[in-house]
Amino acid sequence: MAEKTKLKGAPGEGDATAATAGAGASEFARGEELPRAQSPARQFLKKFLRRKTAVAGFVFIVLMLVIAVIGPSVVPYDPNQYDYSALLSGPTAAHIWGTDEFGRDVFSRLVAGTQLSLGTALTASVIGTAAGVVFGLIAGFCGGLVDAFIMRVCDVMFAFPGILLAIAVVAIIGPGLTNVMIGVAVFTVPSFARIIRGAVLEVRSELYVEAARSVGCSSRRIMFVHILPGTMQALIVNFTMNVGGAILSASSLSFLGFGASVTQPEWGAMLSQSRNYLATAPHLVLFPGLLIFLTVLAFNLFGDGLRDTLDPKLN
Amino acid sequence: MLQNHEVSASEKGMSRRSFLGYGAIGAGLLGASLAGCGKKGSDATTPVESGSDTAAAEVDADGFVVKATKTDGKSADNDLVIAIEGTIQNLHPMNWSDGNSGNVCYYMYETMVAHDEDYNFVPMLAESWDVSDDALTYTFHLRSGVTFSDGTPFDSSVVVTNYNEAVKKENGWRRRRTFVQTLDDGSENYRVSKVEAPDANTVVFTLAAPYSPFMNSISQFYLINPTAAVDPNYNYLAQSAGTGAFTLKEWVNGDHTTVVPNPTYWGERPSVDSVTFREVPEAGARIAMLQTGEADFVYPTPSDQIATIKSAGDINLKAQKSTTMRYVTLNTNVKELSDVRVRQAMNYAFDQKAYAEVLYSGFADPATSVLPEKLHSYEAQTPYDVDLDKAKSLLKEAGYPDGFKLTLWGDNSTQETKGMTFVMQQMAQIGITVDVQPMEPATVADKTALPADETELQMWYVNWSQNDADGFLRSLLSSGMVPPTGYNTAFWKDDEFDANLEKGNAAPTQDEQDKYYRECQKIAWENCPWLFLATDDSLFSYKEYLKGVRMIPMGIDATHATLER
Amino acid sequence: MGRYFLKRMLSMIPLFFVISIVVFLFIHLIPGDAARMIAGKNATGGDIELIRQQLGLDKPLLRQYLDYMGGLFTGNLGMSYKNSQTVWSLLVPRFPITIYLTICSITWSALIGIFLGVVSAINRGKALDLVGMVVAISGLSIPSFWLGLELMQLFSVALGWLPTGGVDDWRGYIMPSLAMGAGIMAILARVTRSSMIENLGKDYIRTARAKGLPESKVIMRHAFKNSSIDVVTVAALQIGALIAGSVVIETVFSIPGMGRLLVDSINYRDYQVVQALIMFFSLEYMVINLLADVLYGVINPRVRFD
Repeated sequence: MAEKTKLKGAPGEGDATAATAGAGASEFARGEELPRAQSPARQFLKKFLRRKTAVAGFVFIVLMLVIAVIGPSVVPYDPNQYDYSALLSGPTAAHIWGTDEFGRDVFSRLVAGTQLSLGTALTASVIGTAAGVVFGLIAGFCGGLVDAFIMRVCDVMFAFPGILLAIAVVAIIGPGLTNVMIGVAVFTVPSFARIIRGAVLEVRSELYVEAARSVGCSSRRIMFVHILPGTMQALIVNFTMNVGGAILSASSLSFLGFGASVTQPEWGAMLSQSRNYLATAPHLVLFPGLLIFLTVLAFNLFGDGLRDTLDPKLN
Repeated sequence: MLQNHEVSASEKGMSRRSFLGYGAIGAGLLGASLAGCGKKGSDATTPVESGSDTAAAEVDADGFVVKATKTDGKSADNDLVIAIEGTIQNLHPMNWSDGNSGNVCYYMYETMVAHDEDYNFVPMLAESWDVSDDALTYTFHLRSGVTFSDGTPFDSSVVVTNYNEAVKKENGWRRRRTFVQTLDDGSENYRVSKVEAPDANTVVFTLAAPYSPFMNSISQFYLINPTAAVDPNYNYLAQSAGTGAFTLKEWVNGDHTTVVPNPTYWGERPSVDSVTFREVPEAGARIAMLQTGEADFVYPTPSDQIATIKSAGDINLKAQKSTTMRYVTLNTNVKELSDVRVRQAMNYAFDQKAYAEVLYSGFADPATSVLPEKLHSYEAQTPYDVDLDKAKSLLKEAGYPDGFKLTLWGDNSTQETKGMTFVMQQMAQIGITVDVQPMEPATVADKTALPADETELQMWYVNWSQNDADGFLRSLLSSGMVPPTGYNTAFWKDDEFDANLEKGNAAPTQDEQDKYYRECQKIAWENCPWLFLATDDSLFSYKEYLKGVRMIPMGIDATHATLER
Repeated sequence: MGRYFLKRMLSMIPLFFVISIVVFLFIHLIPGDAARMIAGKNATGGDIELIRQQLGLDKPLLRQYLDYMGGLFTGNLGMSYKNSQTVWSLLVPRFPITIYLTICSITWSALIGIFLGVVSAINRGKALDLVGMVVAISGLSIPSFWLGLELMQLFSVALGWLPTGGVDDWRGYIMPSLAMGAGIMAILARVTRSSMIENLGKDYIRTARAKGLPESKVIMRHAFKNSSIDVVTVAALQIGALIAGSVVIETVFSIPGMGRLLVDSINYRDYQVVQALIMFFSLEYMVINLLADVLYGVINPRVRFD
């Protein structure tokens, strides 16, 4: 199904990714004929494509993004359409992944929920990463007292168990998907701040930054134009892996009762809500569980592959 | 260069193969799981489907839902293990706050009068009792020959000492409130004016004013060995000081509590060597323990586990009517909900039978009054049978033909959120959009306790369980009990209801009380301060080789349980 | 090194102080009221107010904080509102359980994770690398409560090998630590692999090989020894993840450890217990990271402490 939808061409986010993938493939084809003339991008692609697990992960992610975009409009049933006469039925021709405790179609819910789950994880990671990057840049670039202060705050946040931070956020600002996003984002911040700070310290002493400074570039300019790109690699890799972590955190929060609203077909909430049916209606647990597992695995393998490709120390 | 070329070619081939490979693995995985599910899934659906035809709650005359088919199982030991959901936090018989702790106290401590399975008062440490015609004097005739587990004799002076300790403010015992009412301004109202012991076997309680739940207070008035009762440092979690059939062996915080038979017990000695309450929060884990034999008895048993229990073969599952009323309070101060037609429309739209089916696999009875059927004062009212047309026309009359939007609060447990989702689905049928907001229990408790001018409460999915009519009608529906004082979270006020409630309270006999309480039920039912849901059964499951455990208002009673070995 | 150790210990004090404030504010600012939870069902507003006074919750927040800090310095962690037991007496029996669980989880995940990492690094790009990493990363991709419940269905219900919960003997620790350690195993495998690959490409390895040292010696003595610093650092950082894991897994397996006590106490708004527990977890995290730093010095004497 995904293959078909990809051919149809999807708007928005999914389209962009699909396009990149397409471009990647053609680039690769040309690269094959002219192996000597390789731009850095081509070199990257070549190395990346050598990592089969990473490519598989990437393809799966693209597939999921496509489903996220077009999923809600192509599902066979309304994800919230209940049918009290068909509760907890196993997979049948009409409901290929069975129905849940309200007789809702599990397949439709999972497909429609892709947008919510990926959206939550991506947004949480983006917010967390952005904040982490800003703090990390400031700490690394300014040094001294500012650095010490930011790093001590990070220490506090590290020492405070992450799941508790999330619980605290959700408890204070109330339940709901948005707040879960904020909760998960909060405990992403310190690790990114630390990673970026480390990268900044490494880059800061590089020649080109020294040069920029000597020609009188402003601090802000140096920070964003010269230093930030140098940290990009660490950023991309950790971001990718963090998305997987965010999906898992959201499901843990659901387990503890702090997750997404039950009326929304978010994967983690579905998995956690259906765990009592593990023995009686295993399909109800299996499909959201597998989907979470495969998606997180895809992000992790993709992230791993990216790092392997990007990190000069590993090549 | 050639080499390089070759590498890339093979790479391309491999990557293509690996795509296919992954696809195949994925498809295989899904296929395998589908096959596995298909098989098990059909097993699982059978009871539910058959249930929707004939109401799944097929309970036989003895209360069996599932009767074990393998009856030759034997217990490995004579130790009874009960897996419970919550935690046991405090074993002070007059200071516990959660039901599980109260349940365990029942094994070690006794009251003068107890409740039986059918909510009748039965003798325990009192052999009989009389109530005066003006409902002010209660005389208890005590059993003789009873001693505490350390040999201290039990007599009327013990009751007097215990009463004096129970009402002492500085002791801060939670059960104090069954004898003393604390008003919002901090002033206090003692229900009992004096307690006397005319002889060793007689105790006389004289009330300040008639108080219909008084016998209920007495049924929660556990009597403690006087030496422990007057000792503020007595550690009830390390030892016990009661007259009950058991004494405390050990309490391990967050894990289990074990009681063993009391050698000096006045009644028939228990036949088991020990009873252990194990705290198992996950429902799936509790059933797993029953399957493996690690637990002999499980309460509560989620109704969605019936198929598992049936397939095990050596487990019995029983259902028993409970006093847990489930409802949604409708804040009558909210503009839309202030119109009785709207509240009635909501009740006409709500399918109680489907609720019982979806939420409790049929093991629940549609609510037919504000009181659960088990209570003495209960009287069935005219049901709001599902009638969407009528509901819609009532909404139209009230000026909301297109419906409106409301928020629904409730606890964030799996079962509660499922119930809230059901309410949302039902209300959508008449255009009322319900925003489901599950919250932590502590947060809900806090937010629902705000006074009328501060509260954001619109609808609250909640339940209530009490053993007497006053405990429902006064606490939940009387005008004096709106938050922050009590739990009238519908903020519903009706003078006629209040007047009948007071008359019922002052009546000396149960029959006379019931006359007024029936009137109260009628008024409340017609005014719909709630969305009436259902009363769910207590479901408990146990190994076939376990006999003689029953459910009483205090919880699980395994005093006379036997394990076949 | 002694001086460095002392300095690090001292720097923990202000950190600990800040955490105490954060914890105090956290538990007092989230909605919910201990007195209301303790009062139980059917308590009137007056009953609840009475309990509030008895617990001292009607005092100003600053006063309560000072009382709490005062207690902390004299070793008095306060008492549980639920049953008047001292917080100490509640923590002491739970402490070893959580610690065993942590040690079991970290031990098996380190052994397997490092093994998979080393194997993958040596066989970089080959089938073994692929299999090793997919196996390892699978551990990081599965929600732990689901893994726990599935393990229970398999090993307890279907096979009858292991108890479903509790920690009455060592068998009770097997499934919980498997479920808790899976993610860490993956992280350690990944770190080991990349660190090993990096080190195997360095000059000194080439020198060692040129000297004719057997390959196993090259790998273990030289490459792995240097990689172990990275592994230890990352392992120490995973303590936070283990604490989060214990919160979930102790509930799944009904283990009376500190993680479950934390959840129960937060749900109950048992302020003093929550404060003590979070302080403990923070301290655990800080101490283990300090120990990791010290361990660097043992592994690699060239690491300078300054």
